[in-house]
Amino acid sequence: MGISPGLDRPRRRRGCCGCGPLLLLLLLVVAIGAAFYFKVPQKLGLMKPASERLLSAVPDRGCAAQILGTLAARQIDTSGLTLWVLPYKDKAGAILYADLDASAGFTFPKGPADPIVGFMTTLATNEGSVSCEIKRVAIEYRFGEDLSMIKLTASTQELQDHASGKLTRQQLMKAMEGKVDPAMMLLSGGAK
Amino acid sequence: MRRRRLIGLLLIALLCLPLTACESMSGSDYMLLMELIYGDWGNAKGTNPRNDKGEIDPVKAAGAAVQTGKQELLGTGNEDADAALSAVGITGEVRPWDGQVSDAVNKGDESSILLAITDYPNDPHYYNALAVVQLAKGNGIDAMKNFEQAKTLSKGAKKGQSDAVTAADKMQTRDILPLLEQAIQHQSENGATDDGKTSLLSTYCSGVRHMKDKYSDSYWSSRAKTKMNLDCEQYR
Repeated sequence: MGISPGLDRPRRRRGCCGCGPLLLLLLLVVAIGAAFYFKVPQKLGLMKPASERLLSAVPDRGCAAQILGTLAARQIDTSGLTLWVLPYKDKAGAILYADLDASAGFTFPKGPADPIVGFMTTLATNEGSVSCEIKRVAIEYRFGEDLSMIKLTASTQELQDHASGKLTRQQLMKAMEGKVDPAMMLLSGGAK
Repeated sequence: MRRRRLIGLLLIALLCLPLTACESMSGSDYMLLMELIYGDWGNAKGTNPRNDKGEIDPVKAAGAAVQTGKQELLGTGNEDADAALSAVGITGEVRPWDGQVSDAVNKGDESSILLAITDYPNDPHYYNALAVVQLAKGNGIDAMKNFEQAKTLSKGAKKGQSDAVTAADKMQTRDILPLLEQAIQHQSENGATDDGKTSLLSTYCSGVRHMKDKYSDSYWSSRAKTKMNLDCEQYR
């Protein structure tokens, strides 16, 4: 029985033949995810953000000034608080966007048992907001120009219903939408 | 080895940025936010990566990552909420100009306002700011033209609404009043003439009365009394 000459040769490593396409697929998924995360379709003009579809590009500064003045008249400290009133394009009413900058001295007013929800309710229901037909409130809590920590939004109706007891806190939390900075999610140790 | 050290340093720098910010925040606000993110809200939305002991749970973290990714890609499912959460796109664009225009009203600097108008020709606020500066300087004719232009643009901005004329009129009056207040308070710096000062006051008071008489909104008349020491009912 002759010995096959090929047996003595060292075996060629064939590698993982399925890895190439799998790696490519993984890279593709990551690339698509990153493209959406960094809003590439919006930047290329392929997709309009919801704010551009629904809201007027012209903020109502007079309403923002009136609401801010109303809050100040209620002895609410408005340091670090900037308000933007963005009217809807095709219907009456507007969204109130509150920029809360902790680095400029913003702190939630103390007093109500639930200061964050309480503050959002005050933003939605004060006389200025009623006069300006604010239908939804959004808050963005940040530290300085570049570090946005959390954005939260709820409709005026939901906040009113919660204040009057028609909506439980759990129901309000379910209805409230938002975005959290992932760094804040992972880095803040100790807090439950 | 050197590269590893560099990456290490970079990671530490990245971690330090949010932590430093958190430390500088008001302690109780930080706790309030944490309670919301890791409490009722995070649990209701499925974005809380921690378990009951406060430790990061791999399964919950994966769920939270999927939930967050889904929201980034597809939105929240509520278009109104998505519009509110992405509104920073609109405010971010005009914010630098608004600051510059506000300074220009204080200083009576028309050229800076004209630059804003060049960039945002459809924004009535900048025409109103220009008109207020012109009014202060006693140039009533150009001021009226720019007020008119702003009014036309406000109507355009509100055309989708059923009561577009009323909404535009309110928007225009509300937009002018804070600008006039500002110009009156800075009339020693913005080059206001004697005629200009009189025009600023009479336009301001006429706007204040308009809001009260036509829209039953007495905010501006009480503000005129408390902040400006003006009784606009007397100032006719």
